[in-house]
Amino acid sequence: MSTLVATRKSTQVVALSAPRRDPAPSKMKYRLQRLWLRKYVRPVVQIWLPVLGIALFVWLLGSNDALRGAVQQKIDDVRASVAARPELTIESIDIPVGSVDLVRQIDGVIDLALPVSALDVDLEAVRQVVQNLSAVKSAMVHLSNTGQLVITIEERIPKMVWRNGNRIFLLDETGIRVAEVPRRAVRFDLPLVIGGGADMAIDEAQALFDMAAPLEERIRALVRVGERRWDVVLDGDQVVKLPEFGAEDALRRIVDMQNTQQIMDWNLSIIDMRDPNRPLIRLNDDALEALRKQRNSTYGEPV
Amino acid sequence: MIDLFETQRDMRHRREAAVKRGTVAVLDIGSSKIACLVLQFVPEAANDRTDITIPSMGSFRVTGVATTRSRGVQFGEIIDMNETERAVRTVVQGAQKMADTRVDHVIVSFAGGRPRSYGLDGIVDVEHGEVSERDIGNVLANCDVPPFGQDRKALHALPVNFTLDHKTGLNDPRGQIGVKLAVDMHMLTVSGVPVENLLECLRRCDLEVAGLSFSGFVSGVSALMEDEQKLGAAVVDFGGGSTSIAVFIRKHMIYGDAVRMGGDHITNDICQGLRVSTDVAERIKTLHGGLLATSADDRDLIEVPNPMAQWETDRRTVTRAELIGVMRPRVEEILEEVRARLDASGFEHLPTQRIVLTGGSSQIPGLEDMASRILGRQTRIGKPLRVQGLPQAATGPAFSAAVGLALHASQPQDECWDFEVPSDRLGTRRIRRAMRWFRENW
Repeated sequence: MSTLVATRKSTQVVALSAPRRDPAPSKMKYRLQRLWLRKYVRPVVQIWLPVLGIALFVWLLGSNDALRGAVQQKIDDVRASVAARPELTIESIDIPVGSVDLVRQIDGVIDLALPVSALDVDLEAVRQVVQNLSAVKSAMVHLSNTGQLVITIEERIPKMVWRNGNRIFLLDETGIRVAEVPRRAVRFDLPLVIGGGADMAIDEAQALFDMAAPLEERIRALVRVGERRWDVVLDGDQVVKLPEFGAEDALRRIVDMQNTQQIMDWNLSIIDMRDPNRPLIRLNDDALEALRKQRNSTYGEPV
Repeated sequence: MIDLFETQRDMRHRREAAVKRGTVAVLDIGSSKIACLVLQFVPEAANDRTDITIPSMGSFRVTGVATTRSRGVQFGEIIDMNETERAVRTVVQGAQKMADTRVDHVIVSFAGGRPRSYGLDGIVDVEHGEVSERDIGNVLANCDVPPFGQDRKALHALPVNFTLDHKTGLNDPRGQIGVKLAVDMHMLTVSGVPVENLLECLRRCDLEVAGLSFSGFVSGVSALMEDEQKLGAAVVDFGGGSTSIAVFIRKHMIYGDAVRMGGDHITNDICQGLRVSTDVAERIKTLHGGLLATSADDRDLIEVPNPMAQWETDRRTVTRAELIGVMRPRVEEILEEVRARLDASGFEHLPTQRIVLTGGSSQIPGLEDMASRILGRQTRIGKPLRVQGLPQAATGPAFSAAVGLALHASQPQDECWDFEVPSDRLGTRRIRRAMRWFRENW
């Protein structure tokens, strides 16, 4: 049954005297605002008080040993607890590229008691240690997210064998020692340079070897003489003495002569190209004898 | 009179100090609204042209403005100190916030206190043949002061006219040669108690009063044209609780008075006549109010909200003609009272008799016609001068007293107390001043 009188859902009732909102600031607020508007209050409160507070705090911390110790202890504890996380543990060292020898060498120089926390490892120091190995051209050390210390190295590739006195080294293309070997025969595939200062002139030696490619079969070694010029030693104890300057040109002449006259097949011991205007040849004793005999027979007089 | 000089002179010093410091606030405590302007005075360079007598437009700019509904003020007088104090705090805080500076000194206008004008004159012999500042001090001190009552205070004492040996109409007789120096002075007194209340209220707000002016006077400064001020005009500041009258000639106020009726009374009439609440009446007055009924107004229905209404159909409307019928008698009454005061002042003897209506209630449509009919002279509605930095919302006639105070602060007129009082009347003044200085500053 519905009511006959409709009722309004909301009857608007307006208060006869609604209390007005008073926008007035309280006395305290008013005074604070006026204080805030003073000329020096704002910089003092906003800058100098915080600075002073921080300075005071730092000074307090520094002046009290026990407090400082406690703070240091706390910091250490936190650091230790973080370092102990399994996510940061280095389980192994991974060297993806590198010869077996080098890997063994690297393993020898890195002294890490694995497993170790990544926080305790100075990666730069590790890199430096690896870098200092003579066989390493460059090294990169990083942590993989699988708990490995990855050392990516670029090896120095030996290009020559260098005998200096009693010691035999392998040199790379810049003359830096890669390794020491007990015998020349270990790397028979590499050309041999001999003599003090030869490592300083590896570029030149390489150029000379390239130049003398037709004679490659016969070349035994390049000998550095007086740390200034090269001798090419061939089999049969033949020596080509090259000048200090223009060694390549001189060697090219020799190669040309070899190509045209097979000069190195002559019975001679030394070709002296030190003065390019006046190359000299020293014949072997028997050749000299034969020559002398020939002349005697031809001219009838001794040479 | 010495005591009174003291406070006024202190205010003067404070005002000068405040202007020199650059920031001063202007506070117009009216019966319906309180307005505060923060003025920023620029250094001297801007107003070096002293020959321009339009109150130096460029020498200050308004950086903060705030208004609030006035509370606890009736007839321009404080009747509830706490309420007024809160209102003053509101405006001062708002204006300070807008200006982002702190103001310590305020210049206040005052409309209540039953102002009364006196014309004083004094005459002395010039001491050394040439009129010096000392002679002016002497002649001002020598004025015959009528017994205006113990409880009254002089709000203004303006030297209007100097006469030197039958040569009258001098503004500044200094340096001129003569024997007898006479002065005409206009003194405006008000009841002391309202003034004391006002000062106490501002003191409670941590503000220092740097000047106190009659609101009619400052309204005239801002609303009258320069030639009107020169040739003679009356300004009627039609405020909320009281209507101030000031008569100007030769740029001096020569008469000041106040009718203790204003816009609030019109609102009250509407309130009673239409049986609505005060807020509603105020709203109806400002939206639909008028003074001249036309036939169209009979058909112009104004809806009157009825708080007791229960139904949508239960509405009440009045015609605009009815509203005008309520408002008109009160405005007529006020204007007739103004006319009586102006007649008493001898306004009709002035060379021109321009009447300028200003103040918030002067915005009632049709007031101009009605005023010219009742006051019988050329009237116009005056808006205050434009000053730099004043927002558009504060340029209406309701702000003429505030703007006038600002102008007055930038170019104050010489008052009697600005001149040195002769030493024989000084007495213990110096010592007392020193004592007071110590008390205030230490």
